[in-house]
Amino acid sequence: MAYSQEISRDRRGVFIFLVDQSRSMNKAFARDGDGREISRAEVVADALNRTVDELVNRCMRDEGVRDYFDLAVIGYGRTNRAEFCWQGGLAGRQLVPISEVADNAELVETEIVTMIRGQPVAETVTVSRWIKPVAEESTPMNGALRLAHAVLDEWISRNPDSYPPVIINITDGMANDVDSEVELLGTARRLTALKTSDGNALLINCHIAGGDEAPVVFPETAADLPADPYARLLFEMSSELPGRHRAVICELFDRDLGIASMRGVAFNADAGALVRLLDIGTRQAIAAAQPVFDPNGG
Amino acid sequence: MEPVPWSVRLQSVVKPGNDVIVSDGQAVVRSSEDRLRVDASASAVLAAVSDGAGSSGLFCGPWAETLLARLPGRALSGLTELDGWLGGFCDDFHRRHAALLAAWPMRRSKFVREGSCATLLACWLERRDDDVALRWLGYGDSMMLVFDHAAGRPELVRVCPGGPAVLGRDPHLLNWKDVPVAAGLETGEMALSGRMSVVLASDAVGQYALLRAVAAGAVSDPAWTGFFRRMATGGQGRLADLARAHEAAPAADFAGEWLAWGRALEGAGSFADWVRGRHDQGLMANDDATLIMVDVETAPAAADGAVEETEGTE
Repeated sequence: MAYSQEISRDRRGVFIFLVDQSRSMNKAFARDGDGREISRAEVVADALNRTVDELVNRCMRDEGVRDYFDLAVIGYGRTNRAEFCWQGGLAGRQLVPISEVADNAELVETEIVTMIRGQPVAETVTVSRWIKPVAEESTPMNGALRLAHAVLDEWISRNPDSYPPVIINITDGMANDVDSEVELLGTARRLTALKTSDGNALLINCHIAGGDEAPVVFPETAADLPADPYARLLFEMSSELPGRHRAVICELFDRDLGIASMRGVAFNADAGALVRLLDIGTRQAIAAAQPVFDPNGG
Repeated sequence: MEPVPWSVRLQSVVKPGNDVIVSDGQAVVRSSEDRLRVDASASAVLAAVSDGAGSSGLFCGPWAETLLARLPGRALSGLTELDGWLGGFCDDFHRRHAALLAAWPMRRSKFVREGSCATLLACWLERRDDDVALRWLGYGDSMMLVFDHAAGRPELVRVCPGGPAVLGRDPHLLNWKDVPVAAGLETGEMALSGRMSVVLASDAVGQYALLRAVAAGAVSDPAWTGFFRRMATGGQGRLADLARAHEAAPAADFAGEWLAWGRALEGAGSFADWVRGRHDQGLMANDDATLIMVDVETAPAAADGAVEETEGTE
């Protein structure tokens, strides 16, 4: 059965996050608790940092962080080329084992209130950051997909029986490094044609907008999306989600469990939809690292 | 003075496919997160297993050890008593272990946010005039199996957790951060007379023992036999794979299987070999393994062989 390979240090998984860093990512997207406007780039960086932090957290044990995953973040738009955007001690690296990701976090102290035996208790904890908000130039999304293909092709040759790669692309606009939509679609299809013995690579696309139009998340068909050629293109670029993803989505979104088809795409996503998409996009692989019947298996 | 009516054998071993983690440039071998405790005297036995849940929180092994070390000599009878008992040492555990992580802020944050989690299965046996009183408390998926040898071969007569539902979901776990919940707690008591055995095990060994008994026809409870039949025929996941493996290769002679468990418990090496062998055969999950067997033999039972049983799930 595809998409069922248990993730272990010997059969690790891989995530690549593609992040639009074009100028338009400067646009206001949400407001923080004090009413201050937050840009798309800030919201995306915050959501990604939380996602990576959760992945690190799930791999952390008393002895250290187990290398269940390799991670990469590819930014596109800081310049007119796609590039890996690790910083600090990871600058210049591509796919990085998650233990090294953990070792190179920027730690920021924060106060939280946590419940201890039913009572609220104030504690100081750290939150981890790796990604900074960037909104500079154009949208070389095609280059980002090609870069992801190159590193995953090599990764799969070293990990042929692993859980398939998961690529999550977050963007607010159309690629401007292609001559046609067909060219971008072809690049996406080559990426999702990569496969391990457990299934094809999964490409999940998240279009963020934050306007008045309601977000459409994980549609069954293209007809569920707005009548927008770009929405249709993103739908075609995105992977059909496996049954385990569909089951979680149906539970979270209170949908009919009998849905037979679902695409890994969100259109007009707001901040909440972005967070949910990242959660679902990574959750199944995390679950594969923690078998259902072995929750206390160390 | 009559002879002591019980004998106890026990072993615990780290999982056969253990991990080595490179941390801060050094290779660190993962330690078992199972813990066990047996206190046996002429009048009573306390036997307990706690399985630290390493994927939830940190310091789960030390937490399991603390739970066992703090167990009282008399049975905890219900949720209120369990909660009060935990309240006596949770704060101390939290403070001491948070301090140990002061130099590792990411780990400390995980510890503060998630706590430490472990199962708890405790059995208290008390000698009485004509029989032995067994009381138990279970929280999570560590297992107690009670076998009766009256028919010449072991027959499974009682299991904790009391039904298979707990095997199909994440188990409830005791955490120093949380107040225990009624849905996670199972308590009970029964009288043991004649030749009987109480088996306590962490989940992988407990499931192995249960599946072995089911496949050999030594279990009459339809809840368990039906559950594993369904798992073997149409189930998915690790437990279903185990059920199929046991069904395909049942023990030809369950009395012989029982003797093999006893031989495995003769030493640490024999137990490790036994666990690895069962795992290699696909009959036991790759997990830390703990097994305690308390064999009870009382004077011949009363004519009606009455076994008085009460059980409660709060």
